[in-house]
Amino acid sequence: MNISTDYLNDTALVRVTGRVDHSNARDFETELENLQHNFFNESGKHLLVDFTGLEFITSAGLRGLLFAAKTLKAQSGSMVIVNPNSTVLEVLKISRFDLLFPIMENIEEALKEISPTAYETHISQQQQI
Amino acid sequence: MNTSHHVSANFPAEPNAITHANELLEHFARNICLNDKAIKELLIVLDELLSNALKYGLKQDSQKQIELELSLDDKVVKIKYSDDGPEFNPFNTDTADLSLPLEQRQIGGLGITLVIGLTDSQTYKREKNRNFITLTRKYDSIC
Repeated sequence: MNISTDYLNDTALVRVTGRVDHSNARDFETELENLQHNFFNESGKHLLVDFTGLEFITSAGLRGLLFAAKTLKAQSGSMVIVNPNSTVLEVLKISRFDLLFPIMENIEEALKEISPTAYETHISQQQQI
Repeated sequence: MNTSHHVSANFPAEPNAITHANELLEHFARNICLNDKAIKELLIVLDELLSNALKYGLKQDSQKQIELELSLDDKVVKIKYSDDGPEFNPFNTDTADLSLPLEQRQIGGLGITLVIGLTDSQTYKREKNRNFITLTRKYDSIC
């Protein structure tokens, strides 16, 4: 598993690749907890989790996602999942997570939905590349 | 291409039992035409099944032994799990209430839900001081 985080104004974009299973789910949770302490308890409001490179996730990984979503909602923020593959999407649907928070196809669509300022920052960063 | 195949292994009920199960699945997948999606689903099922058994049934007692058999017969994959731990039927335990809104959803309790959701049938029996679990999944196309 690999996790990288970019900050776009009030939104954290977390990219998760590889697999999240019993062996590393705790690391995934720790990363989300660190975000909570360092970002969401300060100026952050929204979490966008990009699953583009994620092969699969088990229930151990779902714990971290659910905790993050609950915490953000309690702070009037939001969490969005982006671009899960069919296996990850199946896991999210079996767990009824698709009813708890939005699952979108791409980062731009998700950012436009949750934070226009984060979207603008993302677009201008892409144009500079 | 093999349309029927069978592998088995046994190992102690330690945390790395899941690694052994994954290796057995990889060995199994190499000998039959098993597509990526099927492999990922089976990896999830094994992770959940063994994590659950190790944590709640076997209590990570390394003196206990797990036996695992994977078979393919005409597009039906069968997982046969058994251990010599105390009586424990994972399908009789409480699972998370999936109907609750986000604020009330409990953390955890999804492992067996995923095992059931990713397989077509699940059976449990206790026989000669062993727990036996059999899971099946039929794939429309294996390759």
